[in-house]
Order: sequence, then structure tokens, then C-alpha cells
Amino acid sequence: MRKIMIALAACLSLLAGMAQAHGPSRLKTDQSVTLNASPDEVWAVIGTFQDMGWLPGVTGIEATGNEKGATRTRTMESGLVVKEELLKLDPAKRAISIRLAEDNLDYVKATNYALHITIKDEGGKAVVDLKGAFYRAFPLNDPPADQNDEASTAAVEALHQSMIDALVARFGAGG
Amino acid sequence: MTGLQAMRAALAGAALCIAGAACADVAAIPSQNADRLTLLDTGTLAVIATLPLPGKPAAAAVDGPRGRVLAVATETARLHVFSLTGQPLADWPVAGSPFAVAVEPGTGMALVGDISGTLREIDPATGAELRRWTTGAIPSGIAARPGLIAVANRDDDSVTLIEGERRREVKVGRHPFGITLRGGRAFVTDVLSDQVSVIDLASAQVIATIPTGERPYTLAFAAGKGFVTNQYAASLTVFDAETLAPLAEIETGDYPEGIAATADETRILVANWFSDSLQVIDPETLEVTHTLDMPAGPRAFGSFIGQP
Repeated sequence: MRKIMIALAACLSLLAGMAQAHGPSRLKTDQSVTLNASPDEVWAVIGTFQDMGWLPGVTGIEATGNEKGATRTRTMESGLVVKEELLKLDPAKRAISIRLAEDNLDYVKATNYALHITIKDEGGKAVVDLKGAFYRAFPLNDPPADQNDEASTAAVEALHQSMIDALVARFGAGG
Repeated sequence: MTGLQAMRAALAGAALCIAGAACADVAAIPSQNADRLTLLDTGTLAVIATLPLPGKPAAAAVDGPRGRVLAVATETARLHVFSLTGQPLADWPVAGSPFAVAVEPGTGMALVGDISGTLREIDPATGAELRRWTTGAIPSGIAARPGLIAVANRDDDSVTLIEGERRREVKVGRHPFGITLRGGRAFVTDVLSDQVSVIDLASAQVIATIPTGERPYTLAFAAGKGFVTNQYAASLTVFDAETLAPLAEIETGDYPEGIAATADETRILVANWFSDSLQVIDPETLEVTHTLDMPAGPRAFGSFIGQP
């Protein structure tokens, strides 16, 4: 069994390599929400890599730091383990960017996924913008229906909507 | 030139020239997500044409002197050729998985990078493949001048320099992607090392590295300065082209990718993939002077500005 798993892993990594060679195009999503709170109040909650308690279902986070390049292991209630890397943390711009250090199709059906969150000030209210940049889950040509461009875009949008829902539940919708 | 040819040339030029001023350059910006190619007058910043270009195009090259725009559609594996006013001239199938394109300025031939590991020389007028070279893994950026072709091999962390029969490999940082020639040097963006490697072409050695922002993608030169797009940092790193000293960082839209300068070096154009915009930067004042909307996913990978 173990040998089969290793062979399977080798096949998958080969597929991943080939995928790059036939490169599907990078995809993106963009969603935003206005909250009934100030940008500073919202940034105080989401502007750190070492805590993600604001997202329901997160049961544990172990981070190596709060600087660009830091990594973290996030455990979800479901038992899912998500490994992430901090790409950017800019308190002045209230911007945080995180990428999945390892693709995890159980977490989100996409590959090379990165999330960019920025908070803008609109009349004292926080406008939180969530941008996703990623490739579809299936790296080769002729993807199955649940792993094509449309399905992966929908998966990322659903994940980001759950984040928006959590923020609205916490701060209330504004504007 | 016959009288008829001269008249045709004058008419073609008239569309791009303002009375009393020099002819403006043409920029060709492929929008990968929207499957479009935008041709822009870099003087007036007016859109000359917005053309359908199916097949997820990322790379373009403008051959000003020969009046040709070359663009590669990746999914359909085709080399598209347009006039500078947007007339489709040809549309050739290319073997393998073509991605990047450059123009050999001496001959006007297209150099097309096939990411399965081959560089192909293709005649844009006939579609014929004239020569081919084996490259490193995932050939990405291509830069050319008469007698020299430089290719960044992304997954081999190397650059291949081709001069006739002579061929040299140079080890650089991790995942080199964009490459630009200037004087006796080649400059390459090492995407995963957050740096630019500077290669001395005579010795084929890396003589310096320049620190950049996160995920440097491509670079261009104007007014004695180098400008590097930093994808994740949403900025340009500016450095002195001679001393290589970092000078400034300029904020851009999100995921800035392709960058090129006008021939007179008074403007730098940057395509912001995420923001769906094209920004114009003054290389003297380092200010963003214009931000133009683009069809979704502009990448403009390559030497995408040419002077007629």
C-alpha cells in the first residue's frame, strides 16, 4: 500500500510538472464588502499572520513569524491542515497577502492559489477587498467539469464569500 | 520603392503620425483572460484597435520598422501577425507549446519559445520554421539583437546565450523569467529570488544582482534607469542602469507584468494583470502619469512597443 502511495505521489508530481509545460492561464477573482466598522478596527482583527481566529472553523495556527516569508500551519475543525506562506504584510496600506504553500484541493479546488486582502477607507467605514489569483485545479488540458476554469473560479469565490460572511457576522454590514 | 508603394507607406504612416510631430510608437497589449489584443498609440494613448485574439495570449512583440505585430496564442498554439493598424495579416500554427515571442531585429524573423524546451525561428510572412534550438526547461523570456539571442530558462535557473554556432549557459537565480539586453549586459528577473541577475555578455558571468520587490517579472530601460515589475509587491523597482544602485520604488496596479519603454525613452508602459489596467510612467519624474483600462488580464510579455 505504501509503495502504491509513493508511486501515486510520483505520478502526481510528474503531472504537476507537465502541467506547467502546458500552462493553463492564471485566473482571478475580486470580491469586496463594506463593514460597519472603521478600517483600523477591522485591520486589528485580520492584519496578522499569526492568528486567524476570525474565520469560523479554524482550531489552531502555528506560525513561524509575522514577516514576509513566514509560514504557518492552520488546522481546521474538519481536520483539514492548510499550509500557507505570508507574501506581504503592509500595515500602512492595510494589506496582507498569503499563498498556499502546498496546493490543497480539499481546502479550495485551485492550484497556486494566493489571497490578497486590502482594507480601504470609505467615509470611515472599512471596505474589505478579497482578491484571488490562481490556476484551475486540473493542470492539464481537457479538465474534468469539477476542476475546470469555471469550477475553480466558483470554488475560490465560495471560499472568499465564507470569509466575507464571517466578517459581516463580526462587524455587521455597513453602507 | 515604386510610386504606389510610397503612397501606401505614406498612408499607413499617416494613421500613426500627428501633423508636425514624430510618428508615435505602437504598443500591443495581449489580454490573456479576455482573449483580446489592444493596439495603442503611445503618443496620444488612443486605442488604435481592440482585436479578438482567442487562445489565451500572453506575449507580443512589435516590429516597428517592418510594420508588424506578433502575438502568440498559447492554448491554440498559433503565431498571429497583424499590421500596426490592426489588420490581421497571418495566423500560423506553431509546433509544441508556444508561449513567448521576440523579433530578431536584423532580419524581422520571429523567435518563438516553446515551453516544452525549444526555441523556434519562424518567418512571420510564410509561417515556415527556419531554425530551432534546444533550450533549458521552460524557456520564458527571449531577447534578441543582430547576432545574439538570449533565453531565460525558468525551470533550469539559467540563461542560454546563442551567437551563431556558439552557445553558452549562464547560471542565475531561481526561476528566471523576463530578460532584457542593454549594452554589453543581459538583465534577467529571478522570480523566486526577488532579484535581477546582471550578466556580462563578454564573459557570460553574473557580475551583480539587484534586489527587487516580491516576484520580479520583467524589466525595461529608459532615461538611464532600469524598471522592474514586482508582481506580488504591486510596484516597480527602479535602479541606475550603470551603477546598478537601487533608486526608488513606484507603486503600480496589482500584478504588474509586462513593461516596455517608448523609443524616445520618455514613457514607460506597464500592464497590470490583476487591475486590468495599463499605466504610463514618466522615467524622469518617476510619476504614474496615466492609468488606462484594459480588457481583462493584460500581460504584455515581451518587447511590446515598436516605432514605425
